[in-house]
Amino acid sequence: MSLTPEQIDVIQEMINIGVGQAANLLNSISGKHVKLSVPEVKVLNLEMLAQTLIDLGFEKNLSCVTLMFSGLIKGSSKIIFSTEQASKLVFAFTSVETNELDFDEIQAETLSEVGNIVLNSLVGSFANILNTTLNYSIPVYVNGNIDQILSSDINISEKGLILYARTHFQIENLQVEGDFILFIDLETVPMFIQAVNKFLEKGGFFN
Amino acid sequence: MKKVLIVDDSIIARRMIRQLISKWNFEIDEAKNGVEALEKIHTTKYDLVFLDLLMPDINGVEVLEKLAQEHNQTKVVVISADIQETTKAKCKELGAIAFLNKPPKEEELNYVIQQIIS
Repeated sequence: MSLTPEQIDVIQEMINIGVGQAANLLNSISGKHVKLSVPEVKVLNLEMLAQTLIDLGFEKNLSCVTLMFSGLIKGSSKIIFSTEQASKLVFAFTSVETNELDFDEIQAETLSEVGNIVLNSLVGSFANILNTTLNYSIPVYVNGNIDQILSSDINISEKGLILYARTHFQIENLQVEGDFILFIDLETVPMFIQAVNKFLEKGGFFN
Repeated sequence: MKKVLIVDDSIIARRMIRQLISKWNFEIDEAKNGVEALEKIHTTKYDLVFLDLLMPDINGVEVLEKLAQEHNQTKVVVISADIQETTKAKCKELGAIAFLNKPPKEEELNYVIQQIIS
């Protein structure tokens, strides 16, 4: 299955809105401006996905939080940093007392909670726009390479195709950068497009 | 002294809420999941419960469902990252008296506490 340029355009717009909400929350948590790149949207299988991510420089050690979702659409959203960038972010965010934890635990706890907040907002904006309800998993934090991150995601099938969308972001002044990545099981994309079309017929964002 | 319970599986989130409400001098208790929360609510009378939704074992919506079934009148404020309008509506239907999105803003949290406690 492939997507028409018009469908990709609609999906890109939805992702822009969701990522915008997520960036707004990152901005309010960090107090710094968050600069976003234009989302990249592609249809890939697992092998192509791994290669795409490696080509983007994701071959190093990474810190990733995944929020899986199901309902009208099934998939997962991720916020990914290099481990070095993740540590910088954790130092900037951790003002609460965490004496009883070591740094690895603080990093896991902080990133899980930050990931939980921003990814819920990304995916939740789709649900609100499309007037539907999505069910979420507990956020999963993985510190490892891209294979470990992808294999921990039960919503990525080895055989099926997925819709992949990536937006790179930079938190200015903290010199921290990372990526929001969204995977949607391609089998559920027609329902997604249908719901988006219905929303647009009703007047869309200008209603 | 008023007693409150903070329910969240994230230690960072519990610490953050604890700091935000520190000026109220509450006696603060914590629970890290829905099971622990229900155990504590069944054995202690809390003036207010701050409840997260996405938690392992029993989630926050299930806690609200259980309290509604038991006709338990404990006042619950949901603090969740879930921004879905349908989730907010569900929580209100189940008796939550307020719904705040994470991260909660200090003034917003204080306003809700003021309304409930006073």
